Amino acid sequence: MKKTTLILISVLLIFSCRKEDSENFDGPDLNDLFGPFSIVQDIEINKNIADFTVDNTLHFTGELSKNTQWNISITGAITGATRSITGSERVISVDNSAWDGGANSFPGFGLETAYIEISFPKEDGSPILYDTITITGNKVDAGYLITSFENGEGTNWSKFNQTTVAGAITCGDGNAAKGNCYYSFTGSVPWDWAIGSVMIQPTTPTFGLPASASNLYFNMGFKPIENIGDGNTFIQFWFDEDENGDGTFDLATEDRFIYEYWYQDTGWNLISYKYSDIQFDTDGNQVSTNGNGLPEPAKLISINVFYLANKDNGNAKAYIDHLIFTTNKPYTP
Amino acid sequence: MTPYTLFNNLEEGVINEADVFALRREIVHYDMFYNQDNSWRMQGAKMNFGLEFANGIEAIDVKGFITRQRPTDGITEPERLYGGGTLTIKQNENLSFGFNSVNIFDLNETIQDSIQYKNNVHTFNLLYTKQMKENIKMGLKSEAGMSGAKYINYKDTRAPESINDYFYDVALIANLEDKNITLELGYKDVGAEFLSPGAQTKRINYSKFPGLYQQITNQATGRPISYSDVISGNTENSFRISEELMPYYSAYNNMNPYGVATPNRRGIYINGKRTDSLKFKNSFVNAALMTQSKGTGTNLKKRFIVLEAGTDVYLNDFIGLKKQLKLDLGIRYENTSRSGEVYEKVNLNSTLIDAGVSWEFAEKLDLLVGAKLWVVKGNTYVNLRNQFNAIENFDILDYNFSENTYASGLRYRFNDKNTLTAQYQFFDIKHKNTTSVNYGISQFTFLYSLTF
Repeated sequence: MKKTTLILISVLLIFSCRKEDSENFDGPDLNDLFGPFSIVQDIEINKNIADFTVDNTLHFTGELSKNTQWNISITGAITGATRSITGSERVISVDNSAWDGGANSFPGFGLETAYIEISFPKEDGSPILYDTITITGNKVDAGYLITSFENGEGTNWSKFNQTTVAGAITCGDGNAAKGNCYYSFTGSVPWDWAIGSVMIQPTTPTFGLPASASNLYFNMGFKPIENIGDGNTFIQFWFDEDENGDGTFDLATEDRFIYEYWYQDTGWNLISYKYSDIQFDTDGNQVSTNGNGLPEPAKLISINVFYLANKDNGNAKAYIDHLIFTTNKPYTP
Repeated sequence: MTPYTLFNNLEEGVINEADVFALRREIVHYDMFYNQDNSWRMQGAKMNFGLEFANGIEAIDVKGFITRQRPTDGITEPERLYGGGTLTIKQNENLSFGFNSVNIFDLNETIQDSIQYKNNVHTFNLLYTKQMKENIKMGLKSEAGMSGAKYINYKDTRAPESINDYFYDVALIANLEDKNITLELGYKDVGAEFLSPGAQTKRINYSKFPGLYQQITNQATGRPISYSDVISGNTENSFRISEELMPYYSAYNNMNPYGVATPNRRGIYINGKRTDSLKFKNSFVNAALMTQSKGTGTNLKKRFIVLEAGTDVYLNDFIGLKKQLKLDLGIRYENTSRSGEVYEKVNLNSTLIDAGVSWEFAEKLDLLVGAKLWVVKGNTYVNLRNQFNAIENFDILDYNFSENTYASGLRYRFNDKNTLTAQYQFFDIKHKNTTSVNYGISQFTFLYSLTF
């Protein structure tokens, strides 16, 4: 019996050897929830002149007294482009505050001064910090740029404008979504919805896009200015594919995929969709084309951007800019 | 079963309670099926059997049960069962030990989804006593075990795969038989993630509003539960085991809100009890000094001190009355503290004085008087947990109030199980801060109690 007792006591003693856990605690940190806020190490930018074509990114460094939300807002002095970086970590570093020169949406940043504002929205009475940087080189977009209208009209492009419409590239007025230039349509067409179009064709046989449509996104900036409102204006894209590789498009035997983007908002809209999705209509049904019916970006030889607006609403005006294909994800300005 | 496996813990605020309050509480307990043996009322099947041996082991007792914890809704909630049992081996008069197991589990075939919740608690307990001298018996009382909870195929990303922890509770006991005194000196450590729903379910859900007078003042301010509501059964009470650690009211109990099995507590305790003497009966003194075994929100740990004492004084024996004149006295003091930075500091004092008189001034006719006086002052943080028992936030609480309940009445005892009582109860709560509302409630009650 003594043996049994000793065994049982031994078992209890083994149980009693709980490791002291003073490094961890349960729940969120009280310091983060209720602790005082202060900036332990000044928040600084690693450079005040940024050439994103060379440097790729800039970042912020600093340390706070607690984990709390911080917002870094960057605004272009000329373009009005904005970029927000938010976080809630106590330490601000390259891991959580890197900026590649891109904007949240169109318009993108240009070669300009950018204003920086750093705030702590959950900390009452906290300071708001300000700084500036100078952008001397814009970020290089990853993707297949069709045109940003920076180099004028291509030799193979063709345009259509109603007789009362002016459709042309405009540069240098600060209204571009990206860079310095954009394409503008403006005019009144009381007899028809069709305002104008620009058919973009490469100087090479194709645009040099990859073969797979399933991970390829088409992107473009669209800014409706006049004749706006739900159901009043839209962009129609025609994607013409040279299926037999003869260097020309034959509507009777080859695929023309048409995609429509209707007005959603004023300001620059970023139109992005997967190229493989153009074979379906809005109800998910296969659209009818005269070729094999398969989106094949490697065979794309023409993109027609067609602007239409309600003929009863007077003057129509819209800008388009920055046609670019991206892989795996939509474009980020 | 044991306080760490399946145990229906008594609600807060009972410390040698006066008869005038106990009368009403007994009705509530009877109504809610809260039995005196701290068992839970469940529907299901059970079996008991015992074996006696001629040699080696004196006896083995086996108990088992299986109950339905929750029916399936056929869509998202699978059928949930709760089962377990004990195996107690009595070696001889001085030594017995047992194995206890309680398990919650889902029948995943009862819905199309494959989610499953499991909670298993397994413990060993040991009781060893030895006659040291003629009137002194000493021994060791202990229980140790582990819990494991699993959330299988839950889509909620907050659901942990498993939570495991353990506990132990070891006490030296001494029984001074000639003086009717029992002493207990123990140490326990209950892990921060020890989850035993059967032992940690609270009787009262303090996050709910009381059943009556839910709003007060012209601004229709929500009225939280008061102790008057607890006495009257005017609260939302538990009828089944809760898999989640229920909200508790830190002003009443901070050290053991979930009973002895409250997770994240470790420390020493000493309990002394004198069961009978000529003029004092049921006297007891308890003290405990506990800390958290793991900090909450900070590495610093809360410390808890609890002192309890109570006795029944038979004044009739002092002054020579033939009929009973009994004074019930009880006091409980609890201090919770934590050092550190301003935002970490905790210092909360809660004192409950429980007192009453029952005087049989005529044959079978008693005059009953009682008072419960709470004084609570200080601050604390209370854990706010999600349905997976993980702490997601903290509630900052700053108390400075006194809450007093007084009652008086007459009781006529037809016999032991048949009584008629008329009593008046008055309750008021006074806050010393300006943000809370002071108010009071008076009640007059006729209570006829026939137990059969």
